[in-house]
Amino acid sequence: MPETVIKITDLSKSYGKFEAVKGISFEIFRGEIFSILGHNGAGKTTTLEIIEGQRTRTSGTVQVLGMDPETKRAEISQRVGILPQDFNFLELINCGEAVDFYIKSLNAKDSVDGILERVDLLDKKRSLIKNLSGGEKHKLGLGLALVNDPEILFLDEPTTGLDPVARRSVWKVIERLKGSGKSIILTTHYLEEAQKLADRVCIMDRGMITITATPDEIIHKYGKGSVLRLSFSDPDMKAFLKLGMKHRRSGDFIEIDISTMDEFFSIIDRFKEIRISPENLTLTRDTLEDIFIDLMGADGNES
Amino acid sequence: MNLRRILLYLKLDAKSFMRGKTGPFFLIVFPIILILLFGSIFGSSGATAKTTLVVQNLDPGNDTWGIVNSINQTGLFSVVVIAPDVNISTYIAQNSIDSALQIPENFSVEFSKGVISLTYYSNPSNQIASALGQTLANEIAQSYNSNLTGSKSVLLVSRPVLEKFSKTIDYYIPGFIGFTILSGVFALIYQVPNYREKKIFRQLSFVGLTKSEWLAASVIFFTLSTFISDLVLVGIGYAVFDANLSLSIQSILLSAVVIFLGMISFLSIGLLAGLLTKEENSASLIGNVIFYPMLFLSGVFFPISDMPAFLQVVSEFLPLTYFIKALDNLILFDNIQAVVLPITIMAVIAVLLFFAASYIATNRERL
Repeated sequence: MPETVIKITDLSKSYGKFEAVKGISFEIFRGEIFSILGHNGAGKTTTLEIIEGQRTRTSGTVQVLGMDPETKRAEISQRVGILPQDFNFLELINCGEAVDFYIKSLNAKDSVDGILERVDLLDKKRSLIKNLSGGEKHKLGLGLALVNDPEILFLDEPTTGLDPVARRSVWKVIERLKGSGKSIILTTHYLEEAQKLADRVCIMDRGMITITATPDEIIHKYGKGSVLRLSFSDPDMKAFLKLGMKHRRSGDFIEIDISTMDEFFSIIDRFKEIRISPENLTLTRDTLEDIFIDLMGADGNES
Repeated sequence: MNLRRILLYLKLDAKSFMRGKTGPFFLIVFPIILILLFGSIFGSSGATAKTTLVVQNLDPGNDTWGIVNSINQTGLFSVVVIAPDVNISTYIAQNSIDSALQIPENFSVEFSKGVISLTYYSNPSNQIASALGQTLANEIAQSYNSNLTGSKSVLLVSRPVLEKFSKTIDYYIPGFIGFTILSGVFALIYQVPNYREKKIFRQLSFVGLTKSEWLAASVIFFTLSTFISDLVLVGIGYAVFDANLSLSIQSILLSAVVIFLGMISFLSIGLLAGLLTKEENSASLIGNVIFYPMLFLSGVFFPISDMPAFLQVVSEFLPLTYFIKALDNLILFDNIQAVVLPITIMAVIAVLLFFAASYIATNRERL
């Protein structure tokens, strides 16, 4: 049984009459990357800030490393790292100075170079923060969050607003942290990000949790399976049709539904047996994004 | 409060400040401009500087020339006599004259009846000329009264309060220092909405830096930078305008206390105003609403005693008033005992404002 590092029970947060978070419960285990997904306004950041001790809750219980963040914020802050949404810092400070300030303030053992190296920013040590690109700035924020060698890392939309190249460079850094024993809580509205990085995903909608599972479980449970898409030359097409394999036509293409990878390999073996060569072969699978849109609707309304 | 965290942030903030374009300007360049500008305007006028006084004697008698000679002997005026047939108002207008004295045609006759009538023209915006003229008229009257009683006639013109000073610039230096301290209001009034918008307070809280510690670091930083500013300012006052202040070790140390207390008060006011401000643009409006009334009503550039009674009451409620009173007593009059009350009042105001600002900043969840 993995160790629970965060336990949320019936957590609610209201602003006047508006209920931002409505009685949610979940657990996060040591060493896993747990992603909270949802549209803007789903309650992701509010939930994260309550767990971090930045906001008070209206009701429910929150335990972080066995402590309540409302009353033990200082103790918890020694053991967690936080990368807030839209990371900013004093713009006329360079990267090395910012990391040095964190190391000295937190009495951490890390070196400035060591931290910058972990986030691929060593060459930017003397660059002022105002001159960093969006991706570099996010990586610096991630570096600062790593200074006290935290047990739990909170990453609030770490790649929002970044171009695809910058996004992938931040993912690379997060992937390196995977397996280091740290628990990472990642909020994002990029489904691809959650699918690529997270061990478990929780989908939030209008303050409530709709699903909590691994990306594969979600895809398996809610997806339409995989589709093998291919085409044949005319002689091969005749041979294929003689096989009597269940399929459908889509323009010049043949589409075959696949349930398992074994099924896929047995189909390929049959093609080899009768000596036909498929052209333009692709195997597509539902992504978390497809399922999210199916479940939540593109505009955030459940379908 | 954690002193180590305060000092670490102080170092970081100082680097950030010095790399900005506006910070060093207000720290070094602005005080230089301020004192050079005011020094050039007022530096040559003062107790020994001569004010041009146009005199028109319409009385045909010889006795009245005694008045003119007496004025000349004071050494305070450069007397220019104009002929009786010249229109004095036109002459004043055409020659941009700030002070003129007209002895009326029947002065001797009226004098013998016990009535003294003189006309003094002055430019009200030239306070020195105006004050000298007023004193001059009073002394002439007093002198003639003495003549009537048979005592010796001596014409006296009051000199500025501190005889030893040779330059008016000395009187303005406490005001300049007050001006630099008051500018502390603007230091935080822009920073708070900016930091709030960029969530920098939140980022700083991750290393445990509290709002009170941040404010304390700001007070230390701006106090030190203001000392540097004021040293530059006083240095130029001495080097260029031959200023002459009472700068004993005691007065310098107590001035440092006054500047520190003033900084706490004005930074706390800036923080409170910044908390009320939702964005940087409206910060400018609030800053000006606080800055200018305080600047003009606290005796920085205009004496409080010259203000209407109700404004004098208002000035009693402004922290800068006590700052100026304390500095005046320390570096102009060298009167240490007189600074006890203003410093005590400033300390009370500073403590109240600091804790109010810290409390409100700490308890605002979204700061």
